Amino acid sequence: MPELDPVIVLSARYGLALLLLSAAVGKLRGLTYFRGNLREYALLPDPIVPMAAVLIPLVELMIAAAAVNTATGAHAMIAGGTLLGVYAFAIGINLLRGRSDIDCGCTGPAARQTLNGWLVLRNIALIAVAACGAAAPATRPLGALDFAVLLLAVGSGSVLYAAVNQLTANAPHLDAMDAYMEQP
Amino acid sequence: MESALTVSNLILWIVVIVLGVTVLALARQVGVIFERIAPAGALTIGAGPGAGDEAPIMDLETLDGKPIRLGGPSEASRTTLIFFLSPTCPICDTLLPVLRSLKKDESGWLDIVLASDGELAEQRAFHERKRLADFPYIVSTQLGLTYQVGKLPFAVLIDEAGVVCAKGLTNNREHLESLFEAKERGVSSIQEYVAQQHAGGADGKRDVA
Repeated sequence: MPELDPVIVLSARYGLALLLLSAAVGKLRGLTYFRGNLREYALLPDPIVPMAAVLIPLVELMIAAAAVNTATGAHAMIAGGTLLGVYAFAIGINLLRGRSDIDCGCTGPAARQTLNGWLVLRNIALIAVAACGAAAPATRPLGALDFAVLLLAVGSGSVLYAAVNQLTANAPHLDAMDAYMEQP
Repeated sequence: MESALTVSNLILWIVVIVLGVTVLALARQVGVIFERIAPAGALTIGAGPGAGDEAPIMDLETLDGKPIRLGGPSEASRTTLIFFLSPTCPICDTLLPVLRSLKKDESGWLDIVLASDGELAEQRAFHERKRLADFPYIVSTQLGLTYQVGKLPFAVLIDEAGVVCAKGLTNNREHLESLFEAKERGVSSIQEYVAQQHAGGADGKRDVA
């Protein structure tokens, strides 16, 4: 495992833990919705969809919990990166099927966004973050400033992530409006 | 030197976070605006008699059994707004107060007719519950088919000569008022208005989005 500065590694781990936690909570709170969502993806056989709908957020929670633990952090990042890769794959398949009208289901019913190419790119970017988190933290003494930077980096990263998400959720509305304006 | 860099670094972080929050707030506002206006304007959709066409003359009956004629020149030279709604359409509900205030404010020239379709018992219950006795209320499949109403709430404005001035999906007060605006300006739809603006513009660049 290559070594990276501990602040970078820890920011990546805490940031992804926060992301997975919010995703899992969103899915569990709207479980019925997420079940329907999963069915729309049409990738799993129907009988196992209800079980998978519970299992997916639970796995997310487990990875989030493991990510903040120093001993299991690196492995959690590998698992998280893999999970995000699976999501990107599932979204990609449905985009190729031309099913851009279904909801991502990323964070449950609270934040709806229809499938689009940006989601795949977003997940690839998140996998890169997970890769940083999977690196071994270099040993150097950490001061108060390091912890401040860690907190601020996770905070600003989360806010920017939410902003990008909102913007990609807005995009189809704008397209719909353009299409409407252009019709005779 | 080191403490200067530390201070500068912390200040920059704060600025980054404040900017991030601002961007997020802006993005959310854009999202909310899309929700409020979607679909934009009082949209004209599909076929049926369009702006400028004679409204077909239809002799119908209101829910309380009175005969009513839609279309054709109005003897009292009044304009008619046909508002299509349904008991199962929540946005229609939000427009009922708007219709009441329009009825009061524009009583000098405008008649408002409510139109719906479906089971009579359900319609009567809805009519009763929402206290719509002030409005002529028509339950007719034929009317909806004639104007090709696909989505609700939908409104059609017919002028005193019996000609359709404007029609479209009306999700809020502004959309309804846009129909009156259309009558005044002689523009049939938001699409046509945009097209006119484009034609008037220097190079047809989009200035309304």
